[in-house]
Amino acid sequence: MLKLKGTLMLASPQDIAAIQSMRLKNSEKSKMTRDHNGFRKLLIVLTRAGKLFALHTGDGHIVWSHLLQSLQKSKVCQHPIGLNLYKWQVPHHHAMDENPSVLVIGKCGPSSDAPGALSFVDTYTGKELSSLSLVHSVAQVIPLPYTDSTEQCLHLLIDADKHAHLYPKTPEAISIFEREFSNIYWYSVEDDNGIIKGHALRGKCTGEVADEVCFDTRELWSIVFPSESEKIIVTVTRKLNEVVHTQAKVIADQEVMYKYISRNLLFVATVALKGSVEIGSVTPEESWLVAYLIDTVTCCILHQVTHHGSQGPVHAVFSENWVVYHYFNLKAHRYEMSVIEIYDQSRADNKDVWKLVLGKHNLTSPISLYSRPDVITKSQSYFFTHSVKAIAVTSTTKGITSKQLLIGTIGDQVLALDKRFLDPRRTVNPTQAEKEEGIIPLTDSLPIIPQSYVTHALRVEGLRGIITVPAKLESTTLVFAHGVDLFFTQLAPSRTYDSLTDDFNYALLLITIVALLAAIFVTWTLSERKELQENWR
Amino acid sequence: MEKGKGIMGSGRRWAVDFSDNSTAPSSRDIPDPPGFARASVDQDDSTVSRQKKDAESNWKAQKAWEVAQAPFKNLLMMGFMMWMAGNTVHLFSIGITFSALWQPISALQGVGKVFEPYKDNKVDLLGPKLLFIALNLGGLALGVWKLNTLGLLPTHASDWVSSLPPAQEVEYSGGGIPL
Repeated sequence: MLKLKGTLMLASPQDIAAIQSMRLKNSEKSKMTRDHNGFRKLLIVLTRAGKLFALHTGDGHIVWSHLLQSLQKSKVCQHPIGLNLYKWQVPHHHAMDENPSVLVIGKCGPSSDAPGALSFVDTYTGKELSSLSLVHSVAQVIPLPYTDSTEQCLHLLIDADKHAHLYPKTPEAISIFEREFSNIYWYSVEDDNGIIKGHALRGKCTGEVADEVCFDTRELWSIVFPSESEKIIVTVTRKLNEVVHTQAKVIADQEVMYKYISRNLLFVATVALKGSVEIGSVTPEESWLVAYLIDTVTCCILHQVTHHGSQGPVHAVFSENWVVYHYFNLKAHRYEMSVIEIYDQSRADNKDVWKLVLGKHNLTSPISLYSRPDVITKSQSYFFTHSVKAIAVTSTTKGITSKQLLIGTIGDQVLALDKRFLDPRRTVNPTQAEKEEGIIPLTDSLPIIPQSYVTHALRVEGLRGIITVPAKLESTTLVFAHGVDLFFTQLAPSRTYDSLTDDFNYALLLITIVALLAAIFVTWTLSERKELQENWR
Repeated sequence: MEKGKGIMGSGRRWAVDFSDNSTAPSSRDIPDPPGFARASVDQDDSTVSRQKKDAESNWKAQKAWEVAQAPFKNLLMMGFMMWMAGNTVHLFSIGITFSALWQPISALQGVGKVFEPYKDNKVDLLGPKLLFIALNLGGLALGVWKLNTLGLLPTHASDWVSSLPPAQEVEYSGGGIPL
């Protein structure tokens, strides 16, 4: 009835608003089911107060919200703080029976050995499936890449006494874990005394907290940064679920460089002790920034670079085989962005084409990090005008699409910068082959193209972080920026190369095909008739 | 002649072929004059026909060699067209290269049919056939070489390596700054 009024132009402004809200509710993008391209998702967000929300990505409406009981003040838990969300169970085989669930971890006090609290929440309905209040504290949470038969992801919770607890506490999870026992390591970064320690698992716990899911750890290595001159300010690793498509990068003249792709690399940035305060309070001679690339299994420092006359704050992002970090250069009075790319030199001998054709190479066999890696790194720095609050990188399902860096500027906007601008192989005069490869000529500063702001004319007030999630469509990625405001959008870094445009003319295509088939048939019969007449002449 | 016979059917024949050389007396309409012997005439005919057959087979052999050499001209023409097409990957150059590859293949498939009219007991067709096949293989090689200069043959290591997924790592480590 309202729609009829609207079409007849008889509607009042309130009616128009009602019609629009009805249209929005029933539109394609707000349906509560998955779609073919993977654009409709539920965003599960945890606030600092311990309230869990599910937002629909179509129009941002709240599907459910839940104040977790286990994270509320009670006798057991005095000062609960919500810490983090982890993916707990994503059923693929039992998708009809069970819904995906998340794990919420909180701790019951501000100190580091306060006991923790776990809560498992069903993501479709928002109901709390179960909750556990732990006797031990939670210093770190390590999601393991193994799942058990009910498709629950195994997690390792490390407490302040360096014991590791395995969750879920099922015998099957324990057996899976014990199979992979000797391959699991963990590291801790103590930034107040500048030490990074690496640990391995030793065996079941002994002592009064003995439990079958408790494991002892032993220290394997430690890197001590001299505390009089360096202070750790940022550590960054690769995202766990990032997909890298190929290990080889083809450069000009059909040469190949092999990327050093390892999930166990840690990027650490340290500044001089005096430089860890505000910008401008120290002289360039007294401040420096050192960037390290450390292998967290073997403690090998793969690369180290010192930027003299620079200081923090440093924001970094690590993806595939490169790190991009942003800092302030006191000598030049400008912000700078640097890129470090690591390549594996030991695989570069695979040049025999016949061996590669027949598959007699070991390029895809599993590798151990204890074999000495022969790496080379390439790095470059560029000036950048904006001050930065957060950096993230776009991620897609198969990793084929080129990447864009999403830079959250001080003006609370998100800028999309193509990774090709941060290519360490850029030169001032690229050769013809390099130009064909797509290398942009080197300039001293990164261009800020006004049209490449993802947030258009809006501002995400109080921007704190940017998260990217792959959609099912390879060319598109979903970006969520959060702070005081929440912002969600879809980005296609190489434009949507894998789907037809919205205004594709299907009718014209069908008519053309039908017309061509008819023309083929007509000319075929004509030619047959002509041939027959020729034969009878 | 056939028309006339066809129309009259089995009635009387109106036309008689006097130069009929068949040896069986019963097949002729008009009997021979008495005392006329046909054998000697056949003897002369056979030498004449043998000479004719020799001439025919020589002519066939010559023609077969000519046909065998025909692909050579084709080769030159295709070579020139490929040179004109250039080194870039465009519609024209791809089309020329593929037609240069397809023509020798289809010619090789039809070798028997090409040499069919020259088939004879006395003519040795093996030589011309081999030459024909060799020239066509040369044309095929030219097409493949052109494909190589266009960069479409996977002869570099990068062609085989660029689709390999990254190697799995045996160890796994996690952690970071305490929560």
